[in-house]
Amino acid sequence: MKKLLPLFIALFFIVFLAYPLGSLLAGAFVIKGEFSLRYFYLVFDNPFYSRCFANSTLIAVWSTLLALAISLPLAWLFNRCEFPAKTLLNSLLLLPLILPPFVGAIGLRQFFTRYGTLNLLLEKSGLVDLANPPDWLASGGFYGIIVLQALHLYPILFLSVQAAMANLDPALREAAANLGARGWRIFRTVTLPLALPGIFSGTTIVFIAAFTDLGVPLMFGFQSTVPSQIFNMVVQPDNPMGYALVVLTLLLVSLLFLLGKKLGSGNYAMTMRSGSQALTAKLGKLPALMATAAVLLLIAISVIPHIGVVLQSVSARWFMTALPTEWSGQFYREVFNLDATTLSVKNSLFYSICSMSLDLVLGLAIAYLLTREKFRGKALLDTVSMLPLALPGLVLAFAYYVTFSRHGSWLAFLDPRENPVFLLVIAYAMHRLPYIVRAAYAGFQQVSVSLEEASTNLGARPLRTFCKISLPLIAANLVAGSILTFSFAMLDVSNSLILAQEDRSYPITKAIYSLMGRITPTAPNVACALGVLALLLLALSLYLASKLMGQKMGQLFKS
Amino acid sequence: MNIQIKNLYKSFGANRVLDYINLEIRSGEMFFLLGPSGCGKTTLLRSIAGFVDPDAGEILFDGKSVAKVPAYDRNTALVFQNYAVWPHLNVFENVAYGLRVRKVANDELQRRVHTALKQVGMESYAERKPATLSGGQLQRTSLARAIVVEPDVLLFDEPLSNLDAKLRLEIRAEIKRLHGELKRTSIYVTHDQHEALTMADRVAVMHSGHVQQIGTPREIYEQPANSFVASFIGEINLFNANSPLAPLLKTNANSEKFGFRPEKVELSGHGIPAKVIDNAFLGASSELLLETANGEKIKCHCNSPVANGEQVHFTVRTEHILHFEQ
Repeated sequence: MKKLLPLFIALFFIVFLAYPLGSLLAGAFVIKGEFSLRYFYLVFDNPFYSRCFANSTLIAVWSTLLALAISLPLAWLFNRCEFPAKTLLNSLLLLPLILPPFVGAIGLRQFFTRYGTLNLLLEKSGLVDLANPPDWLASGGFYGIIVLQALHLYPILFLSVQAAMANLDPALREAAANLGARGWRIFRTVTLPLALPGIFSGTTIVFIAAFTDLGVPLMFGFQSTVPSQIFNMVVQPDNPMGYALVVLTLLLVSLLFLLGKKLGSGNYAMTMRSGSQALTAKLGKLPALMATAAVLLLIAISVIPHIGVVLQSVSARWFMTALPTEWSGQFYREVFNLDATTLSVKNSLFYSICSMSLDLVLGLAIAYLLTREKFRGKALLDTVSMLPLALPGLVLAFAYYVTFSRHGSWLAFLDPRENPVFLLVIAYAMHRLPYIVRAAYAGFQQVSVSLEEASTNLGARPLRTFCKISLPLIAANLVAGSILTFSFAMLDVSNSLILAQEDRSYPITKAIYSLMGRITPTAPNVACALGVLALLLLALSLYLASKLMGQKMGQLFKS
Repeated sequence: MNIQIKNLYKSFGANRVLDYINLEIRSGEMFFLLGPSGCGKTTLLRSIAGFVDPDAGEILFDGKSVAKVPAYDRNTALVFQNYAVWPHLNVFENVAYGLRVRKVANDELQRRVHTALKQVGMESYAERKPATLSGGQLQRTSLARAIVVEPDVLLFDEPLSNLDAKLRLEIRAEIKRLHGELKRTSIYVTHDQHEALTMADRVAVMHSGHVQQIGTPREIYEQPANSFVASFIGEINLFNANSPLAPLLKTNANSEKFGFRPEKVELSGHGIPAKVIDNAFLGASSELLLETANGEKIKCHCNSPVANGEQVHFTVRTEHILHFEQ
C-alpha cells in the first residue's frame, strides 16, 4: 500500500497532466516531425485572431484595474477600522467570488440591454431618451464582460491584500509612528512596500482568470476573444489554429505566473513577529455606519447580475419595464419536467460525487506524503499538485479533448466523443485537487507529529494510528475541502462546455448554455431557473463548508 | 528490562548526531541523558523508541536486538515534551488508548485506567477534554497514559520543559515517586542539570554526539571527567595550567587545565589577595566575582555582606582542585 500509493499518484499526473499538456505542445510546435513556429505567425498574421488577442488582453487589463480599485481601499478598511457587522461582511465578500459569472451574465443582460432595467429607470428620471437609448453592452458586450469579471474577481485580490496587510507585524508601523511618521507616510513607506508581494500575486491571478474565462464571453455571444475562438475550434481537431491559440494562452499564463512569483517573492510576512496586537481604529458612529453601508452597497452591486437571474427565473412577463410585471413558478416546474434539465442535474450530481471521491483519495494521499514522509521528488509533487490551480480550465480542457479524442490511442476508452463521463470526472477532479490537498495539508500541519507518534509508541499499527488519530483530527478540513470540490464541480464551466459534446452527457452548465441558445421563448427563463437551483445548492454547500472551516475558509482561495 | 546501546551511529547530512555511542541502562534504574540542545540526547531516545533508524550500531533490549522491531511493537512508553495528548479524546480515552490497542478486556481496562489516573492525581478529570486542562494536568494525563500499559521502558523526552517553575518541581517529585513505586526502567532526557542531579540513579552527560561521562549524580559533580562536564554540571572556575594562580594554589599535577567550584572557595584573612568587582545578592547568600592582581577572575559564594571594591583573601583546598586533560 505504502509503495503503491506514490505510484498511483505519479501515474495519475503523468496520464492526465503531463501527457495531455505534452501532446498539446507537440500539436502546436511540431509540424511534420519538425519544430516550427509557423502556426504562431499565422495567428498574428490573421487580423481576426490578432483582434481576439487584443480584446482578451484589454478585458483582462481593465478587469484587473477595476478589481484593484475596489479591493485596495476595501482591504485597508478591513485591516484598520472597526465598524458594525465587520465579520459578517467579511464572509459575505466571498459571495461574488463563489457565484459563477457565467450564470450572472444572463441576469446582467436583462438589466443593461437597450430597453433593460437601467435605461428604463434612467428614462423615468429624464436622463435617457428611449428613442435613442445608450447601449451599455456595446461592442458585443465588451464592457459587460469587464464589469462581470471585475465584480467576480475582486474578492481574490481583497483576500490576498488583506492577508498581506494583516500578516505585517504591527510593530513595524508603530516603529514608523514612533519615529514621527503619520498616516499616509506610513502607508506609503512601510505598509504598501511590504504588502506589494501579496498585491502582485493576487493581481496575476485575477488577470489570468479574466483573460481565460470562457463562460462570460459565450453568454454574451462575444465571439472575438481568445477563449471563444478556442471553444469554437475544439470540434475541429485538424485545425492547428486551436493548438496555437491554446499554447499562446498557456505561454502568457506561465509568463505572468513567473512574473507574479518573482515580484511576489519578497514575502516579508511573518518573518518576525512581536507580541503587539494590530491596532484598529474605532471609527466614529457616522463614519462607521458609512463604512458598513459602503461595503453592503458593494456586495449588493456584485450580486445584481444574480438577482437578475433570480428575477428572470420567476417572471412570466418582463418587457419594457424595470421589473417583471407578471410572476410565475412555471419555469421551475419545467426544470423538473424537461428531460434535458433533469438529466443534466442527475449528470452533474453523478460527475461531482465521483470527482469529489477521487479528489478526496488523491488529496489525502498527497497531503499525507507531503507532510509526513520523506522521499525524493517531494518538491516536484508539491508543485505538480498545485499546478491545476494555475492552469486555466480552458487550456486543460482543450488539451484533454484533443489528446483523448485521437483515433487508435490506447486510452480510447476515455474518448470524449464516445463517452465523456470518465474524462469529465477526471477533469473536474484535476481542477479542484489543489483545494482538497490544501485543506488536508493544513489539517496535517496542525496535527503535531507527536500525536501520531504517541499512538505508535503505545502499540498502534500505522493504519490504526491513521484511522483513530490522524483522520478524526483533520476530519473537519477534509469535509470542508470535499464540499468545495463538489460544489465547484457542479458549476464547472470550461470543462463542461468543452468536454461534454452530446446531449445525453450534458452537465448543468452545458444545459444552461444550450437552453440559452434555443429559440423557444421560455428557454432563457428555464435556464435561469436551473441556474438559480445550482446557486442554491452552491450556497448551501459553502455555508456548510464555512461552518466547518471557520476563519480558515479564506485561506483555501488564496494564491 | 536492561538496555544496551552498542556503537550507535546516526548522522543527518554532515552532522553526526550520534557518534558511536555505547551505554548500558540497568533494569529498573532511572537513567538520565543530560546535555545541551543538539547533543544527540533526543535522537538517542527516539532511536530507542523506534522513531529514528540508526545508521549503524545496535540497540539491545534484554540482550535482543530491536533493529527489526517496529516502534509499535517495542512496548516502550514515551512521555512527550509537548504532552501529545490527543485533543479529540477525553482524558479517560487518552489513557485507555494503549490498553484498547492491546485488547485488554473492559473491566480490567476500567480498573487499570482509574488506577493510573489516581496515581497521577487526575481521577476527577476522567471525562474532561484536553482543551480544558492546564499544562500540568496535560502532562499528568500523558504520564498516566504511559504507565497504564506497564511498558518495559518508560521514556521521558524533556517532560517538564513546557511547564512553569512551580509545576516543574511538583511533577518532578511526582515522577520520582512513581518511579520509586513502579521500579520501571526509565530513560529521561533533559538539559536541566537540576532535574538530573535530583532525580537520576545514573546520568550520561552528552555533548556533540559523544557520551562524555556516565556516573551517579554525585560522581559527575564531584569528579567530572573533563572540563565540559565540569562546566555543564554546576559552575566552575576554570584555568589553564600556566595560569599565575597555579603556583599560588600549589597545584602540581601536569594536566592541561584545572579548576574549582565556587562553593569551594574559602574567604579568609590570609591566602591570595583579590578585589571584589561584582556582587550579586541571591537571598541566602551572595555570589561574588573576584579579581586577582594578575587579572584572573574567580567566582565564589559568600554569606556576609561585602561591597564592591573591597579587598579580600581567598584559598582553595588542594583536594577540591579538579584537573582536566581538555
